[in-house]
Amino acid sequence: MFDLEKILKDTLKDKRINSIKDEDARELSEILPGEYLNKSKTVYRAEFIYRLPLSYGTRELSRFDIPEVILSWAGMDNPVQINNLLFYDTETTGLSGGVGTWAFLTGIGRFESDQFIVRQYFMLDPGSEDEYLSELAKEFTEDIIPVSFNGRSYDSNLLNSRCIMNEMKPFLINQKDIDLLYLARRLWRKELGRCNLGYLEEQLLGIARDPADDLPSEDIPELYFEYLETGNAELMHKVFKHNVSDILSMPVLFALIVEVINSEDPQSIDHSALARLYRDLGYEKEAEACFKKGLTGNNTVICRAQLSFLYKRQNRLPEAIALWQAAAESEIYALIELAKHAEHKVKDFQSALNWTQQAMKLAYENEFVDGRQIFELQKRLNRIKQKIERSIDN
Amino acid sequence: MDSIIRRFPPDERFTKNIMAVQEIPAKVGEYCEIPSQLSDTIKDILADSNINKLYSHQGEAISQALAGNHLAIATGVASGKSLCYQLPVLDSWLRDKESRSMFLYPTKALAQDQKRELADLLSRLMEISGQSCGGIGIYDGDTPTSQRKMISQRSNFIFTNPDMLHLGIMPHHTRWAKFFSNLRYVIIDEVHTYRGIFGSHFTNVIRRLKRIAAFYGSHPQFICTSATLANTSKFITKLIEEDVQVIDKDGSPQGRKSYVLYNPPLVNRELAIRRSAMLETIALGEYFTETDQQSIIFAHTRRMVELIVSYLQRNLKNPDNVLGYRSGYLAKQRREIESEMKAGDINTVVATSALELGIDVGGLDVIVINGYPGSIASTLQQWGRAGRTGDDSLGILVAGSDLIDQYLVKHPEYLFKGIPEQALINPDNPFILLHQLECALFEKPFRSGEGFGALNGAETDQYLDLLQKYGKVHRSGDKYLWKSDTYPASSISLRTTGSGEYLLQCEGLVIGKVDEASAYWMVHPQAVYIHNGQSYLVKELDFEKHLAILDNQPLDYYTQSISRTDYELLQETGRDKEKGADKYQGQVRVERQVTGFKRIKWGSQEILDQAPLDMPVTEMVTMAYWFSPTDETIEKLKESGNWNNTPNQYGAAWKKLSEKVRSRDGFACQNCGITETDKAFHVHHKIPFKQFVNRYEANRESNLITLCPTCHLLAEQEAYVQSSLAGLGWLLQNIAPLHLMCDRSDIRVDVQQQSNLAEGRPAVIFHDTVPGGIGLSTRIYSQHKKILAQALDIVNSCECSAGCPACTGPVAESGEGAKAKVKELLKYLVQTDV
Repeated sequence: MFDLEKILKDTLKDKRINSIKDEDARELSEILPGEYLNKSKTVYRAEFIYRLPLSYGTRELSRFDIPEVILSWAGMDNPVQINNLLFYDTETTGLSGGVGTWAFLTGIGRFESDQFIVRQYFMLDPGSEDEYLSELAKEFTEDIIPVSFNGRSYDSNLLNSRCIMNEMKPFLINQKDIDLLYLARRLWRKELGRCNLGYLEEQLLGIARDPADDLPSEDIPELYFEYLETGNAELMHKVFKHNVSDILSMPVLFALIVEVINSEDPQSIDHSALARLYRDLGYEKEAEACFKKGLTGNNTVICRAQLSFLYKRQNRLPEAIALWQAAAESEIYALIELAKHAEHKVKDFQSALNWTQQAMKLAYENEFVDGRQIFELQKRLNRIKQKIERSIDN
Repeated sequence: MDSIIRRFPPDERFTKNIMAVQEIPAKVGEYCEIPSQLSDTIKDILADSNINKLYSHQGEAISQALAGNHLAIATGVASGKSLCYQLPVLDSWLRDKESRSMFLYPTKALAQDQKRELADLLSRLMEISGQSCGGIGIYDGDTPTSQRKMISQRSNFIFTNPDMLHLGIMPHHTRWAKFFSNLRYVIIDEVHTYRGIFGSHFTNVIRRLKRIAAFYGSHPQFICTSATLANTSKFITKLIEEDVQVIDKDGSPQGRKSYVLYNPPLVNRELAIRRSAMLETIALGEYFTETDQQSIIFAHTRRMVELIVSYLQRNLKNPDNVLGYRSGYLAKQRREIESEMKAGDINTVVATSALELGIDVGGLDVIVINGYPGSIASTLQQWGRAGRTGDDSLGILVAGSDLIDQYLVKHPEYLFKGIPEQALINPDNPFILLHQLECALFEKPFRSGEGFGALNGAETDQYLDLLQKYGKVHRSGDKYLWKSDTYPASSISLRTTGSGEYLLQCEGLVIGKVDEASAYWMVHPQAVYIHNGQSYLVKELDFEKHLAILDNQPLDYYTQSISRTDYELLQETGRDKEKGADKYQGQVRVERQVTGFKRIKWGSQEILDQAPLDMPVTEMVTMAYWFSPTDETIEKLKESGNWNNTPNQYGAAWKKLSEKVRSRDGFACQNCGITETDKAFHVHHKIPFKQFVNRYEANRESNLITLCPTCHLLAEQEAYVQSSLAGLGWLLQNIAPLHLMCDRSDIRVDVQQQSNLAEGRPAVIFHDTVPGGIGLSTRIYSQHKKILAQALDIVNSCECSAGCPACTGPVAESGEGAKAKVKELLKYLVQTDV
């Protein structure tokens, strides 16, 4: 066999150098309060307990009530106790979130009577990832509501992906969750521009992390790799701290969001989102006004659709029809509504047929040809055709 | 050629340029029953469309597919290949509505049209069966991010391409868990396009696909469509690493077909210059448009397409009849073009290649190919577009002035007997494999000894151990785990070996890429680079940024780099004796330095000037084949050199000059040292006279040397041998692509007078220009006899008198009489009794 290294030397030249194992390195248990969770010592759990209220920037970490609006926004019907919220955040070995990325540290935070408790699960050996995930999974019980910052796009996908890679049942798949980034964007994007956690912390919570202490996220993977090679737990100290800060910020941010929503005059908010919040609270007049404002903004399509359904529910059909006609050129739902109206209210079957055919045509031209939608349209077409035939016979 | 060829212009102005004709009589269709194993619902929709039988190849393919075999369907264009995979795929969905299938297409245009066809069939099936379906989705670079999750979760049928599979799907396969768990079929369209580097990467992407599918418990079945190759079965088997049934007996009915090989007339016999192929194509195109025949004209480059279209539109009464087809048309536009063609509003379409078309125009009356498209397989495929069911059709190849074009029209058996080339891939090219293994590792940890596709455990571990040494792997027990924050798939392109690339930039836009090793001789400063029929001048080559800055300019010359090359043998993998020479193959390290370049005028091939360059040395490892004439052959050649040496005209001032030189040299032979006695010694040109632009250059004193008659004879003999080898090298560089489906630049032919690869003897060396090699050169090793015989054939049949770019190289390059010398050399190397 030829000398592979010699042949590939130019391609390999900018790889990283492995560090050597440090025999005198300090162990995790010497640096962070916690314990190893298994005999083979491949999973470590650190724990920190905070007494409430805890001063945090310009605000404070303390208990609060969760308004109905947020729950219905998150798709939950039943009231939720604050103790059921599970705040979580991961530290990972890469931003791509692809299948080759590990979530080597996952921290969770919960309210418990007059305390806030943070527990951090750490994976000492990627080869035993399944043990780490099994321990972590125990936190995610039936009754908890996961709360994250960007978890919907990133952390939950990653954790679920890790479960699948280890042939375990993903523990975050079917749960309702609350993503504070999504909420924050709704409320503050126009005003603040950026919505990353650090920036929000600074602007809204008055937190400035000490640069000497904190770490840029890009450096985190390399620290973990070096830890794997050297066994030196000191390297992980800052990562654990960084993670704790991320977790503590979340309930504080959440409380601020609740405050803003409960206040009388919410400003600089996305109209369609706010309108829907009003609508869900039962304030239909305010909802209508908000939707109308949104028609000229950059949420025209959604506002128009939602407003038309509002009118339909209020039986203000001429107004609804006007909106559907405007949307008919490009929106399938509008064509379907017009078809329904023509078929059931006006009994104008020919028009209904035309609207449905147009809808079918649009459906085929979509990037994604939705099987269910076509199935339904086909049924509608057949039904209308039958009605036409029957009326000819009569 | 006395009978009139249907559809061809009867005028003598055209008919006199016909070199050869093949008439294939009409063929009735061969039919068979609809395979009974298909579900009743499918039989119902076939019946609804009045289809109660299938072509024999369709029936065969469907039965094989339903029996669980991997398949390749290699029948002609418009023979209903799509149905061969659509029916089995839909059948499996009917039986299990969670079943999933993946469709890989080389172009978006093809994918969109196929998606539409499948959607039609699917909706009818849903109507009859009442079974609802997740849907069909195109998942590629254009798919909006907001839709990706839904498409990946809900679609039963995914249309994508190898790049997206490699970069966007595999590295996130957990999002596709449901898809992979239920993956039944993988359909690969136009599989013959996956050759060379791209094909080598593709095999590895398929290895990764199968590996991940197995993780989710699936073992998909592969159905491919292909053009016919010389090695269809072997090639596809190597590409997807499964045993494939190849179905190539076409059962569809064919109208009568005529194929014409057309050679533009000579306008300068001595230099063998012919009238431009493009002008002939345009004249033919005018005739077909005016006689209302539906035709497609295929031209190599976009520029050519535009030129032809503008000429045609200028000359025709009805310019709207002609359309220049560009790739990148949207689905809507393509359908408009289709219906306009079917309605007869457009007569003639000019396009760059059959693949880019992606439109279904049924069949056409005439296909005109402007210049050989680079492979016999493509020629046959492009011709294959001609012929509506039952109607006569005509296919014409208009030969360009290239060596191969000329050779093919004079040897019609290549195209008429349809002996296409072999497609080659080398999935285990170390550069390609290293990068692909990184991607595979990212996707799932490896166990020691696991292996990767056809690569065994020990070899795979060798790569993984190397990655560990360089910090990319974490070992845990017998597992290898990816340890890096990078995303390996994004750092490689499936079309290069990734071993350092230069981007070619013109006016801020990137127009192409070249491998680092090739950059120095292809795009050195002041080089002329041809791309898509346009010429560019290289203004700057930035070594740090790996960037070549180009300027788009029409130029009347091209450049050729001069370099010094050294070879180091890393491993010899074969050697043998042939007539008059020894041949070898193996892995070599090539060290090359570009030392200068020549500017050569287009057309006349005259060398305008020559300039030095200061470029870094490049090194690369690749596969090579070389042969070395035996000492006996060299002796015979030298002897014949004695008789065949023609005296040169050196100019009137020669006598004076030679005296001056002899005086400078002390009237002594500069080689053996003896001094003149009674007769004057000879003055010899170190670099042969004929290789200079003019005699002043040639006669510079630094190029002249005094030699005694014996030494002079030896020097002349050396020059003779050199010249014949150089000429042979040029000739072979031209012929090689005929045997391999590759571009001229994929392989390099070099001649060394004293080669360390051949124990100091002269050698002609072929090596792949791709780092790591594709296997092109080593393929020629087994074709040695054939290639040299063909070389002799070409040199004998070329119409030039002393040499030309089409055979042994421009006269100025290899010296006058190179043609004769090459013929002499080949006499000793070629079996004439065969």
